[in-house]
Amino acid sequence: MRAYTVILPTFFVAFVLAIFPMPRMLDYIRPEWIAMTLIFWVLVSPGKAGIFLGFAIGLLVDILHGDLLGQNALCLSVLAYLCLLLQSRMRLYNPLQQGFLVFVLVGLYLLIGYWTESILLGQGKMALLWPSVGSALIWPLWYNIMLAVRSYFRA
Amino acid sequence: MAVFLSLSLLLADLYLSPTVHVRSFLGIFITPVQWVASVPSQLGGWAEDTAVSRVSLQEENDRLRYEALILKQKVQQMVSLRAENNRFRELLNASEQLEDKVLVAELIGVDPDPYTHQIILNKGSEQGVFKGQPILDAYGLMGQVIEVMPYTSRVLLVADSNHAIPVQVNRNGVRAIAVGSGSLDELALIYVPDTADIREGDQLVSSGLGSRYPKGYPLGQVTKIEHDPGQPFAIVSARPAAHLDRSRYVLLVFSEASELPDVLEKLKAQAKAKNEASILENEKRAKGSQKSLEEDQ
Repeated sequence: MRAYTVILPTFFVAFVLAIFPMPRMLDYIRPEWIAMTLIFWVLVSPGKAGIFLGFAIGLLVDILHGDLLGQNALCLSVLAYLCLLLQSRMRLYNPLQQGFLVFVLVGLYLLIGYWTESILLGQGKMALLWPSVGSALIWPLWYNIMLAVRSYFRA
Repeated sequence: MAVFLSLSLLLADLYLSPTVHVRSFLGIFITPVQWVASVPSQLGGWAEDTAVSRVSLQEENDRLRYEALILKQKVQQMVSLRAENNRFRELLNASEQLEDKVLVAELIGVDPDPYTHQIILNKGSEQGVFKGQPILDAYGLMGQVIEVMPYTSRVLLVADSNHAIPVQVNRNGVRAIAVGSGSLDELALIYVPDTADIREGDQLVSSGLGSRYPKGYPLGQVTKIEHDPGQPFAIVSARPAAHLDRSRYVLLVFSEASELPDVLEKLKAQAKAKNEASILENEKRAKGSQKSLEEDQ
């Protein structure tokens, strides 16, 4: 239970970062902060963070972005599942190598969102590549910041 | 399991209406996020307001006083014009035009998605905001509310490519539909015949036909007209009058048009009262004629 007092505030920060006003050009490569935070927590404590955390966070993301209710819940649960499969291998990599995996994972996460949107609404935003690149580039930094936060609060 | 749950939620949100309550409930958790994200820009605004020199304040003060004077003069004219207009409308048996009530709201967020144009306002259902409510700024129509949470609301701007609004040309009343183009400084008029009398520089105002936007608010100005023989309709583009990318304070309009059911009820009640009155009068008349008949006999 104690771990959640750290996990949830980090998600709060990720939420703020996700809607923080930025110049229009930077908006196109805005990293997927929430997905990255979920990946981090699944990596470091797979027992506490998992599919259902992804689901719950996803519901809030739906409201945050004004998407269909359940769209991001679906994407983030799938993302958490993939991370759970990959985590034992991914933990051995250094942050740079992890960045590549994050690129793929975030890309998949966005792709599923695009699929659901285009199937259910008949329209979607085909913006997969740039946000994944942004996420992969910022991942080593984010990973280290989160590690520091985690060890500081001993979560 | 989670996948199944979210799939069913997706379908529920598409086809059922009660999810609105779920959304507005979850919105409570999102509101603090939106507040925090808007803090830096609010701080910036505050710093701008406090750290100004006396001279520039004085200049601004003078300018505002001057503006207020001019506006007051216009208002004086407005009062008599409105009274006159209402008299004419009475003559035409049209309903009286009422002044719209407004609520000032502050912009606290812009949707980070670069492919849509939505903004977040700091007023929600607790302040009486409702879905479909029109939004104005000081220069023209901005958009409409598409999602209401308890303390915030989400607005779709007129420039979004999913948005359309019925308009008419102020000069001659030609009607058209203005759809957003996806870029903030352009709107497109669709289904305009090549022979329609629309010129560059024409003012577009909302026509009120969709019964969502009130009538007569400025939407934009026609900037370009192309007649392409290969196209069935003329290609008309316009520039929005509202400062879609700059306005921080906006007005939420509570107009009679958007509360149509109420107005209908009122009209019905009036008609009923009138009917009853005329029935009473008829009865009186009948009685009177009966009396006179009896007197004659």
